Amino acid sequence: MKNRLKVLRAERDWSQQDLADRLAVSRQSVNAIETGKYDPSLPLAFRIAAIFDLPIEQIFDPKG
Amino acid sequence: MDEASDGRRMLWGLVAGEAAAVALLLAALIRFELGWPGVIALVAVVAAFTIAIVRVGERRAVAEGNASPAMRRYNRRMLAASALYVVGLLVAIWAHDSLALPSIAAFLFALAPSIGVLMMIAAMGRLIVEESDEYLRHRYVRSALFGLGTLLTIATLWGFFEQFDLVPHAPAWLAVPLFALGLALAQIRWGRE
Repeated sequence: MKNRLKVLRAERDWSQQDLADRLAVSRQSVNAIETGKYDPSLPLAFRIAAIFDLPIEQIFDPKG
Repeated sequence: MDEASDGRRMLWGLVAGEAAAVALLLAALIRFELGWPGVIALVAVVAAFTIAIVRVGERRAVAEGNASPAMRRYNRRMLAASALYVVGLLVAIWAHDSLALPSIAAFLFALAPSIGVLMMIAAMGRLIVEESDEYLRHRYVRSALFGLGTLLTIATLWGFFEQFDLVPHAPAWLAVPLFALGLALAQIRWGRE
């Protein structure tokens, strides 16, 4: 599943570790989600959406 | 050279160093008939290397961004279980070779090395329960399934080969080491993703 995590991070000048700390997950988790190697669970996707203050569908693209 | 690469190199260096030290000590143990002092020296060397490998592994996990409190607890539990296993195994070997055991005592001495191994299995279960990072948990479960597949494949093939007298009998306690081998191979393969 494609996503806009990298762009959204860049807009806020956050590193992967910064986002990982905000989500209370490992940096490798952020990297795996960002690169499309791992699709997050629904609860984690909602936490990501809440951190960026965006709806889930503006971050993740199910057609990707 | 970044910290993660340094950690990887050091880890592989320690693994190679442990393999070489164990091979040398085993050869000396057999060649010079060192007996129990040799066995204890071997155990001490393996323990020292194992603790160093765990420490370097934890530093590498921090550098690579996949450290977790659950994994740290898992490492401590595995070290404690391994220590108990070694003590239990040495006691069982000594009792088996030195004492004429009645059946109830034989049962208890046979149980001695099993307790450490059962603690290792429990530690693996606790890691899956306690790991709150869903990606790390997913990766560990996938590696554990690969370990299980390795064990089932080897056990099935070996069992039928043994039935046809093509290979010698393999003891059932090899199940956990074979599972751990598959788990380790999978973690090496997927650990850096």
